[in-house]
Amino acid sequence: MTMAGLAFSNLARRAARTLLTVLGIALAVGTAVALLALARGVAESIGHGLDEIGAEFVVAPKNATGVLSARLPEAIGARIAAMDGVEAVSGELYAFTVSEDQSILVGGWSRDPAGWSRTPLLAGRLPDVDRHEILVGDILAEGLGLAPGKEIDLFDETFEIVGITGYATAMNRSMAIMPLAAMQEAALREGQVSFFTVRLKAELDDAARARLRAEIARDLPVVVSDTQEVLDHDMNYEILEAISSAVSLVALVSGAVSLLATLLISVQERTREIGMMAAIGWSDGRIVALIVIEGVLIGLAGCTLGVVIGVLASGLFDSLPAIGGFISFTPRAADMALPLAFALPLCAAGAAYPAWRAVRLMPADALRRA
Amino acid sequence: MSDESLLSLAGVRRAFDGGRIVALDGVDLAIGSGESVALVGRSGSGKSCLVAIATGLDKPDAGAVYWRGRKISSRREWAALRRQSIGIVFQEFHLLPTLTAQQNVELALMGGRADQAEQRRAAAAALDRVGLAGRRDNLPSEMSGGERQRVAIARALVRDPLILFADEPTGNLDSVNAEKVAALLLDLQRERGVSLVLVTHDTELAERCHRIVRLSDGHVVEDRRMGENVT
Repeated sequence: MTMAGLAFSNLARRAARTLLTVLGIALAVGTAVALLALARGVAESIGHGLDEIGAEFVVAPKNATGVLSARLPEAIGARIAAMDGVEAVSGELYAFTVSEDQSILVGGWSRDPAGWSRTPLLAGRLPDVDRHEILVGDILAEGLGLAPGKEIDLFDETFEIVGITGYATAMNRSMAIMPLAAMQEAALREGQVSFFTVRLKAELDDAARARLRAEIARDLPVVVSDTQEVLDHDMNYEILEAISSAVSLVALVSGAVSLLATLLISVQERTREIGMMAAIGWSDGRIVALIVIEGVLIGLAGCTLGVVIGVLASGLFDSLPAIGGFISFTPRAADMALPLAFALPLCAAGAAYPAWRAVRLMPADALRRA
Repeated sequence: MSDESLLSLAGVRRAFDGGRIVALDGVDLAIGSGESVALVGRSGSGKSCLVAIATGLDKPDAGAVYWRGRKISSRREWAALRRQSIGIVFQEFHLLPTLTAQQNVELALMGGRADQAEQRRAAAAALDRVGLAGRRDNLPSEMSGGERQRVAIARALVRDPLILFADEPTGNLDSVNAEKVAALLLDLQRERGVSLVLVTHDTELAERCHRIVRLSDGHVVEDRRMGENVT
C-alpha cells in the first residue's frame, strides 16, 4: 500500500465531505480561471481588433485614464503623417452609446480611400464621408436585425446603414463604423480623436521603425504602443485586472480555508487513529506527510474540476451577447497555470496546520481521546 | 542501570491533573531479553501508564527509560525504536475500518526499506502466523473481536520486534477468544524468543508468564519470577 493509496482511502471514508470540499476548491479555481481569462480577453480583443483594421501601432495621449475615453487633438495626425517613413495615419474616435437598449461601440475613422477600401464587406458599400452613413458589424446586424438600407439611431441622430462588415474579431464584429467627421459631430467631440493608428512604410527596417516610434513619442504629448499593449496604460483595464486578480485570490484563499476546515475536522475525528500510527512506529514527519498528501489530493481534484468549470464558464460568457459580443473568451494555459500555481501550494499550506495539530499531542494522549 | 536489560525504567514518575493524580512514582523496572512479564494490579494502579512510558507513547515527569542501556528521550528516537524493535497491542484493536486485514498489517511496514511486494509478503506471513491466512481481504467490520485482535497482533509482530507490549489484549474479548489470543501471544513469545510485557487482570494468564510485576498506587509492590516465593 502506498501513502497516496492510504490518503485516498482516508478521504473516501468521508466521501460527502471530501466531495463538498473538492467542489468548493473547484468553484474557487473556476472563478479565478474565468476572471483571468476575462481580463486577458479584454486586452487581446482590443489588440486583435486593432491588428485586424490594419494598425501597426497606436499613438494615444499621455496620462489618459482609458483608451476609448482618451482625447487627442486631431491636428496631431497631420504632424505624424508628415514624418518620413509614415505610410498612413488614421485618427480614430471611439465611444459607447445605447441604441434599442443595447450598448454599442461606435468608431469614427479618418481613413484615406485606400484605408477604407481594406474594410471587408459582407453586404452593401462603404459610407460616404459627407453623409450620415454607417457600417455595422455582422454580429451587431444580426442582433438588432439590421441590413443595408435600414436606419439606426446613435447619439440621438439617425444614420443610414450602407454596409455590413465581415471582420473576424469579436470587437469589430459588434462595432458600428462611420467617417470620423460624422462621429465627432454626433459625439460632440469635434476636432478630437481617441488615438491614432499608424502604419509605417514596408521598406523600413526594425531599427528605423523603432527610431520613428521614439521620435513620435519624443516630439508629441503621446505614448506609442503596440496594438497588443494598447491597454497597458489604460486605468480602466488596470482596475479590471486588479479586481480580477483580487477576486481570484480571495476565491482561492476561501477554497484553501474550506480545505483547512475539512482537514481539521478530519484530523480531530482521527486523533486516536493518528496515535495508533505513532504507536506502530510512524514518525511525525510521515504522519504530517500523509495529511498533507490528503490535502494535495483534494486540491488536485478541486483544481482539475475547477479548470473544467472555468472553461465552461468562459464558454458561457462567450455566448452572452453582452460579453461575448465584445470579448473573445478563450481560456489559455496561462489563465489556468496561475490559479493552479496558487491553489496547490495553498492547499498544501491549508493541510499543514491540521497536520501539525495531529502530531503535537503525545501518542498516549491521542490514544486516550474519545 | 544494567546493560543486560533490553528495556529498563529508572525512577520513573508520572502525574496528571497538575500533580494531584500520581500514576507512577519512582518506578524501577528492567525487562530482559526473551522473558515474559505479566504486569498486574487493580485498575488505576499505573499499568497502562507504565506501558505508555516504556514504549515512548508518553513522557515521564521524572526518571528515564533506557534501551539496551542507552537513554531514549526524543520523539524521533522513540518512533524509530517502535518502528524497529517494539510492538504494541492494545485492548482496543485500533484497526482502520476501510482497510482490509492485510492492509492494516502493511500499515506498520510503510516507510520502511521493504518494497510493496515485500510488504505484501511480510503482512501475509504475519497474518498466517496468527491463523488468519484466509481472512486477509476481510475488513475489520467483517471479523469477530478475537480475529480483529489477532490482526492487531500480526501488525505488532510484522516487523519482528524484540519486545512486545500487550495492554490488556483480552479485555474486550469473550472467554473463548481471550484464551485463543492469550495462547497465541505466549506461543509467539516462546517460539520467537521475543520479550513480552502483558498487562492483565487475569491471574491464571499472569501465572503463565516467567515473571509477575504487581503495581499498586504507582509503585512496584511485587516482582517475582514464577516458582519464587512472593517478595
